[in-house]
Amino acid sequence: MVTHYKCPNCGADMEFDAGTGKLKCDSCRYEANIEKMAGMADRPGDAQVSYNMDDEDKRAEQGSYEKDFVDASYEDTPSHHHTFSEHEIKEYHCQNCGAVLITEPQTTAIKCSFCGAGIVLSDRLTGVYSPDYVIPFSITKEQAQEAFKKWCRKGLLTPKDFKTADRIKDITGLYVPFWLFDLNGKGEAVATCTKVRTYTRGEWIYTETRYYHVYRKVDLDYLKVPCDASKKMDDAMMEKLEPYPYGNLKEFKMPYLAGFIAEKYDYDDEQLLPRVKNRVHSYVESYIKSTITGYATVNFNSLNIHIRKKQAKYALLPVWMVCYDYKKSEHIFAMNGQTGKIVGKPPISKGKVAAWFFGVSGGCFLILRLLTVLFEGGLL
Amino acid sequence: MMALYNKNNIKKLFVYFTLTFILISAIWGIISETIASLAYAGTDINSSYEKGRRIYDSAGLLTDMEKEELEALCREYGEKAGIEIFVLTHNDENSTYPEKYIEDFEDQLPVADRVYFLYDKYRGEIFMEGYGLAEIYIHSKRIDNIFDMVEADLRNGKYFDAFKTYIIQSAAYMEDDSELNYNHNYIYDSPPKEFDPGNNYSYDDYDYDKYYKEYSKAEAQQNNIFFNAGFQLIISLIIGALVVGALAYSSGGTMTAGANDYLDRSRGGLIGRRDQYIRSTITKTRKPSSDPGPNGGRHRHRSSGGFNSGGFRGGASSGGRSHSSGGRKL
Repeated sequence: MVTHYKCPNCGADMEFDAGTGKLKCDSCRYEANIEKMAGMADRPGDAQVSYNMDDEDKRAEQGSYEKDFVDASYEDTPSHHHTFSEHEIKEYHCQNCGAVLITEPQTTAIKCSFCGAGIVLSDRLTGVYSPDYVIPFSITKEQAQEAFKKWCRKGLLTPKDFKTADRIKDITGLYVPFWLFDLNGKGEAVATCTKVRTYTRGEWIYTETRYYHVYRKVDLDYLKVPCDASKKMDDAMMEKLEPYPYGNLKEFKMPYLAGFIAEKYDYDDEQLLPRVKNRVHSYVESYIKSTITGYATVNFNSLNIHIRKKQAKYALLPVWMVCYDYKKSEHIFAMNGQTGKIVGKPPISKGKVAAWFFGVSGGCFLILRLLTVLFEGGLL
Repeated sequence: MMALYNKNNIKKLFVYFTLTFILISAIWGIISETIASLAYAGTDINSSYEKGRRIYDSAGLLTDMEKEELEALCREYGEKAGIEIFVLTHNDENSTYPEKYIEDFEDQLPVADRVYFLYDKYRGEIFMEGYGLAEIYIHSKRIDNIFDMVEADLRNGKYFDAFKTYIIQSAAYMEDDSELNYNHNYIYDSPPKEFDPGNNYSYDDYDYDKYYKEYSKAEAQQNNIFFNAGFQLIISLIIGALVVGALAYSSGGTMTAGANDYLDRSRGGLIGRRDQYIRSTITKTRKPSSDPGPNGGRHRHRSSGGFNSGGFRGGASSGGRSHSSGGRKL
């Protein structure tokens, strides 16, 4: 099914406007509030849990591993999504001009290549492909373009003619499918730590090493850790786009997609779980390490971390993709559609690399020689 | 537009100028260091040696005629005595101290039986060393005798006569088997007490420590890898590469989101914590004393020279060649 958003005033196609966060008609300037288009349920506030630390500590170490965690469950919450392979041969037609919409199987929102109308393929956003959340674009196309040009100028190694950023081939607003994982990380660590003190008594220097048995147990929740579910998007690039401030996270409504390109996920949350668990594992580990302070050395005797998936929500997050033609090769940059952060590999000027390399090396060498001369001259 | 163009041009010129300057100075630094280290090789002692040259009068004390005559004497008496007789002079304030000067010279030549006489005009010192057979025959006591014979002539500027005496007397000693020194273990810093009560043969005759101190300081610096131009260049290149690498790496944007962006702070994360003291260990070391030890006061920096048990002076070159030696301040 194809959904168009028609202006109730004049009947023209409406698009989501990143500046105002509303659906906007370009012809008559009519603006429609998306959240009022359909009722929104209130979300319950998060429950607070507190501990009496002193009592808990001892019990925590003596007690069995599972019992004293708030959330004692150990297994991942099973996914309610079931992927099914479907062969999309369905053809969509623009309802304005009747042209065939050229879509890939993942596409869920598109602009008609003939009349430019923003179209949402609503039947691809239902069932398991129905997103839970969306963060609408807050950076407009013009702002994105401007920000990109500014960013290009800042590059220290980028070629001069690249810096003018006058060959932006294409800038596309894309809603990238992400899974937002809520994960629970349990960790228990036993370490032998030392404190070292030195003092002098008469002719002797004493070094006193005090050994401690250190125990830590943590129960951490990481909420909405994003993980991109699109095959097309480079994982590392998408991770660099983070963070997306979740203040603007909205319950998914189709009109947000109007005028942008959107895709549905290629990987479901089960497939991405190992990747995100890996990431959170390191978070828990560094958290535990951060709680052991004031020691000269820390030696872990045991360090057990278990990560459990509590839930995964399907969200569409805004990304501006910039295609830039430079010396016959295409460079792709991604911009966080919410914060404006840009990532991507700009071309690197060999001349500038050489200049920096020789400049820095030569400078260092000169300084070192100068120091040598001063030393040898007995001035230092 | 024109102004902008000019400004850019000037900037570019400045950058190129700076880069060229830095490059040239880097190259100059290395070349100058290399030249310094090749200073000996530059004189090409080896090829002159192959041609039979024995007189190396860098101080220019002799006329060409005298030099030729002395060369002939060296050859004649050298062949008779079965050794190579050398005369070295220099007036170079940058050169090393006399003992080392001869050792360094010797190290460049193939092993043979040789005797050297060096007149260090700059320091006003004479020094002799004997290698191979000459170490046995022309030992420090005989060197002192030769010095006694030539000292007055050298003071009076009769260099030719002095060198001639040295050549003839050296050859004569090679045939004199009366008192020889076969013990080449020159390890004592000072002569055995019973041997030299009047301190007649010690190195103290001239202010040797001064040169050793300065020289060993310079040598330590030369050997210190941090002062080596090549090492510094490598370090600089590594720093340059690191900077460029960091720039290139960060040019694509870096990861800014971390654990803190997703951690649920509404819950206390740390639910168990115990820090229990187990035991202590104490080690003690003696405080390093800052006052010099019983023998620290008059420590000599002599690297190669020394006495053997018989009181003969000698040493070894950095090339490992043992020699007899003797020196005197004029």
